[in-house]
Amino acid sequence: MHERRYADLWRRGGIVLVAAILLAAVASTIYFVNRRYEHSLHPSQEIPWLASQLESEYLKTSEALRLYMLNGSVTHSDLLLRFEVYWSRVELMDQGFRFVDVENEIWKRVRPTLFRALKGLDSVISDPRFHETPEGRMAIQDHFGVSDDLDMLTQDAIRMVWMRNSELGRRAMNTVVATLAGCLVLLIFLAGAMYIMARKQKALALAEHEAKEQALASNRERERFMASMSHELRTPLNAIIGFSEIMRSQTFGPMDRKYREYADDIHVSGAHLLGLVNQLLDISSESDEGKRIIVSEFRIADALRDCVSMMTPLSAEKNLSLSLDIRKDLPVETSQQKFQQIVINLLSNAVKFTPDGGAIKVVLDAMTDGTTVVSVQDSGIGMAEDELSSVFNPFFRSTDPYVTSSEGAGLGLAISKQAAEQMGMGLDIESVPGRGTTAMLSIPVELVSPGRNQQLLLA
Amino acid sequence: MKIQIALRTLLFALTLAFISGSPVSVAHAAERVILTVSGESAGTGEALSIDLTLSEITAFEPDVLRTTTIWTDGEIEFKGVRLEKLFALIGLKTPARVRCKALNEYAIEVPMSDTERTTVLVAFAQDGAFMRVRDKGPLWIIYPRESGIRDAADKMIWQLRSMKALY
Repeated sequence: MHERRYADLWRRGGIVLVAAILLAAVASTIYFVNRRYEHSLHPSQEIPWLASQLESEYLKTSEALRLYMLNGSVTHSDLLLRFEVYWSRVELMDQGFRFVDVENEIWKRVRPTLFRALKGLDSVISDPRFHETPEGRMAIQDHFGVSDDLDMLTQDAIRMVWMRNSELGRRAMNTVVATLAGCLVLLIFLAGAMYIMARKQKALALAEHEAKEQALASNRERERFMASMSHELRTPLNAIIGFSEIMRSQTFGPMDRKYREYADDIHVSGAHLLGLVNQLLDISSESDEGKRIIVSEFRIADALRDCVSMMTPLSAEKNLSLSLDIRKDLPVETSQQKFQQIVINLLSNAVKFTPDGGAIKVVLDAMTDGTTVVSVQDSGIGMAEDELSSVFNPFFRSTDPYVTSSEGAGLGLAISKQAAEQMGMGLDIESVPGRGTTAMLSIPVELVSPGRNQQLLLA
Repeated sequence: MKIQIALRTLLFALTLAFISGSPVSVAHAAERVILTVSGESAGTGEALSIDLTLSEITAFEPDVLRTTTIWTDGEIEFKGVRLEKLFALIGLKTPARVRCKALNEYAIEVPMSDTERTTVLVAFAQDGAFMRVRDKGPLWIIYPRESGIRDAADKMIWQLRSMKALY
């Protein structure tokens, strides 16, 4: 169950990790593609700007030239200044194309003409009357001649950059789309894996549920069987025991001695059989998994006193001394009914296996580690060491003649051990043949009532 | 502060007196104005607009900056006047920002905080020669290449024609 849960967690963790890696891959791809795109764009962006600035300065210079020649509203000094600025823009345009290392057919064609016109005007413009000389007029004509070329250059530069940007953008977009497509395929694969996993889990859960239902049904069937068996077995046995009791007590008149002995035998055997049936039914019902324990808080000494009083008549029959020694009493939280059942079982064993005139002692004490121990000590026949290991097995019976002559199916200690473990207690037996047996029921500190437990820990 | 302002005014007056009493003043009379700086007087606070010729600018004690630029080849020695010093020398209050405009109407704002982080030079000479308009002169604002100032290239305005102090 745990292994499956861990495997499931690993699978889920793996999926989350893969998804995170995919996302990081997509994000970093987009980031780097975008950066590369922007970086590629940067220098060539200048070209249309430089071309438009050049055209603008050309137009301003041409206008200044026209006005200077027409009416002198522009001074020669202003014209020179305008021309200088225009010159700087031509230089910058040329520099711009070299800087971005872009081939442009228009510029290749325009450049020589433009520089020729520029230098031609430069060679004459310092003379205030340059426009009146043949060389000046030629230079002015050359200057105005590049107008269309510059206009075309601006348009072409814009188109060139637009196309270059489009190509870069297309490449960047292709990379992004390819990455996204790859991620999409992986995501589909992951989703498929998750779907299959979820289906498997659902099937497993369904199977588990069905198995549980089956087990519950089986339990219910057993309970019904146990109840009917209990009724079916106990009813005739009660009749046998009851009627043999009537016969033994000669209620309806005296009987022959032999018949009385037979009636005694029937009664004893019937009672024995009833005991066996009860024990069998008990162990069957005790083995039910998860049987609910009704927990209550009680003092161990009080519970022990009840058990001792219950067993006093039986011990008295065998002339046994039964004493209770309370050295340390504590309140506990557990099933009182089960606790007493165990103690009574231990006491009845002690009474059963202690010859007449013996002694039984119940001691309640606490160990240094906080464990409380209830020990039932008897001065009985005891057990050999090899028998001790099997003492908790169901139907275990000692080979000792004293034991074989006594009643019992050998289920008592098995039931007690099971009940003790169910409550979180321990049950151990120590024994020396011919000297007696000590059964020790250990109650761990965890079962001591919370308030008291805390006090103990503090102490 | 008052002393500082008085000293600045005195320095400006002395500079003008020096210019007017020197052969440069002859050139000044015929020279074209290459830079107009407007701002508030450090002494009186009144609005002033000061026209400067190349001779006047070169009369100030020059600063030198060696650097490369993205528009030129190799390292160049620029000579000029540090921007913050220029305002002090002509007796204007130090502004928070300066709006600079070029001959082709290109304009950009230069924050004076840049001058605290690096050298911002109003350069008039490049490798010992005055710059022609066609060579990005006569005035070019220069930042060192590795200044780390944001958008320094945009602020390196050439063919500088006017500066307006913004307070």
